[in-house]
Amino acid sequence: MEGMVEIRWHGRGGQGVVTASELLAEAALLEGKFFQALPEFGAERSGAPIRAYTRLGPEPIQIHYAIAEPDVLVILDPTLLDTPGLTQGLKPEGLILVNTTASPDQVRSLLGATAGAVYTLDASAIAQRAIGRPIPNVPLLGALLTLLPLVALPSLRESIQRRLQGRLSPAVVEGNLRALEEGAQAVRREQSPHNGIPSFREPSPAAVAQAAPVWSALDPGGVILRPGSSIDYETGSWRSERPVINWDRCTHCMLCWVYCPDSCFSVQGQRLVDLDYTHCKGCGICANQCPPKCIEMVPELVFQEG
Amino acid sequence: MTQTRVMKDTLATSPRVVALNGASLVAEAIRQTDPDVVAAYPITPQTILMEAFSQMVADGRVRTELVTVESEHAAMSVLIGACAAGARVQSATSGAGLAFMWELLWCASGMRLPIVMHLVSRSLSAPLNILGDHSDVMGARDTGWVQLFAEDGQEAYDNALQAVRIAEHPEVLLPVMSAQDGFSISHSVERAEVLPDELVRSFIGTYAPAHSLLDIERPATFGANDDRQFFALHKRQQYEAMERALGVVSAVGQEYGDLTGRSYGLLEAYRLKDAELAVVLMGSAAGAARAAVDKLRAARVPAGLLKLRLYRPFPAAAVAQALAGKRAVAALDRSAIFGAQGGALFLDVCSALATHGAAPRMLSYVYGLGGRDTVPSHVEQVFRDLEAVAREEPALPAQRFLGLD
Repeated sequence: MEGMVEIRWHGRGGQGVVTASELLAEAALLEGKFFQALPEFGAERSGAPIRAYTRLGPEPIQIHYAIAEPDVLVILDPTLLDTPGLTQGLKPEGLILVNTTASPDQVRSLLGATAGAVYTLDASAIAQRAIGRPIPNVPLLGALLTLLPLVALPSLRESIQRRLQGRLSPAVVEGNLRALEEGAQAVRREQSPHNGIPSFREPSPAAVAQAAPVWSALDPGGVILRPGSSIDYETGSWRSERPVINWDRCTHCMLCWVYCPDSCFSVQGQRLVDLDYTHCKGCGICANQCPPKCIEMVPELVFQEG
Repeated sequence: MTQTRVMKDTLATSPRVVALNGASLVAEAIRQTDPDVVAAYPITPQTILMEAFSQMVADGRVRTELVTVESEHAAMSVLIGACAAGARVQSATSGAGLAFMWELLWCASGMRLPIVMHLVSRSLSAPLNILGDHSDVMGARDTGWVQLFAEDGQEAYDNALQAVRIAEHPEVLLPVMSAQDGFSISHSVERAEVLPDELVRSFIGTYAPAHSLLDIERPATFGANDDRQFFALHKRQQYEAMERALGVVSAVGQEYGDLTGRSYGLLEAYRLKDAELAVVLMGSAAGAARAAVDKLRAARVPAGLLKLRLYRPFPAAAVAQALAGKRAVAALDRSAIFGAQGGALFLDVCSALATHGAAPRMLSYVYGLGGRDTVPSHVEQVFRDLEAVAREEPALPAQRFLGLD
């Protein structure tokens, strides 16, 4: 598997993470190269952090497992930058490409990353201009191919056309092609230049070790005996939009409290007092139900950019 | 769980000898085990079983809450919920009804719920057929349920009582399917002994689940999402529980024998010890096979029979031991599994022998599909075939069809 490149994509459901991994694979097909695009889903839905993997190489790829030690990390959502373990396993000579308005140096300090060369691109803004929606995958593909000629840009253009034509309007297909070009030109690099792609190696046992309790110690049938254990599952990371309450207009009717599927609203003395963003998934049901319309869904990016 | 042993002498005057069909005997067993909840949907040939039981409920002879649901899928769902709540629960079904429960069968075993289900086994359509064979049971053989087969109404009754003990045993905690052959057993009135209610009650004891959905002092979540780091571990536990069921089925069968004089093991060998040719089967055809063995023995043919009572978990070591040293063995399957190298029972017997180092000549037979009768002369023909392969005569086709070759 000499010459194989392994890319790990991090983003949220709905940002085109899986599509990006597949577009690259389809471009490799057009060039007669060998490839694999593999998504990693849980039970989560739109907005939840997800991963996808792409492998590209000059020989048939026979392995089928998650990429633990990638050559390339592409991060489609800047709100994920402080996720623990995001850069885990990245090869020291690897490459990190991030959709953000921040500079590569700011990203490095946010990531706390010691490995890899960091590149940034405001891919959401490019996509917003080009197709009217902030879906960052295509501009990032343009940037990636500028940094690493994994496939030729025209091959990727063709894979985009093949996938989108007939499904989306000609204007949107054209917009995506413009976004690809713009992404290829606008990528910003760190002070130190990138050193090229390391050669493939099998993941170290430590990198693929699955932390798990001994099977015989588990409660049979998966019964969970600790009440309220879902508090440990911080579903707030799934959120792409945040409900913000205009307290001046809140009538304390409690319909948000009734409808919230995650019990995020707290009530004291018959008044609504707080909203738990650690578990709010940003589903927007509260905003939809609120009779005086005092709950607004605000994009998370607004909060991250201060 | 409290289990009180009742001395044999209290039984001496107690059993009632009755003339009942297999379905009614099991209905009586359900009444005597007094489940908290029964949920069922009628389907031939199980219908008469649940009709008999619902009459008992209507007459106030049992306290069970009988839930008449809109489908078998719902029946098993009700039982899963009720069992997780801590109730003792049972159901009965047949053929397509069991097929419709299929996804819930996995939920029941995966959640380690000691549900007891009585099966009146029947074929699976198409062509449309409602008569007896083992297609339904065998279709559920990998779902994580313990599976018992009965040869007659008495065994179906005895198995029904033991199923409760096996399922609820803390080392097992798995659902148990107790099967009798549709029509030939379920609708056939025969002599049987029914235990006194008191004895049944003390034999099965009371059910004290470790966790209950309704225990608000100790809240528990059942059937939660099990992501990739845990799922395989829970399946690993299920394998262990199945393995432990082997010992529990034996122990419960022995204890039942101490009480009633009818002991049960994992299997039953008939004139097998000194046999050179053996037939392996399960269910109501065992009697015809015994008759064939007797006839051939009289003609100095070294024939023997191995009847399996427990199919899942498969008692591989006991089967291999029982068949050790035989020259030729035929496994008779009352179901068709298409595209496999022989019937399901055949494959299990082959793997048991192979992993225990025995290598007799093997033949696979399909028999009795869709209510087709099996008579002694059919089984005699199997032994004639076995004689031929044991003499290394030209090989017969690997898959044989009893009475249809």
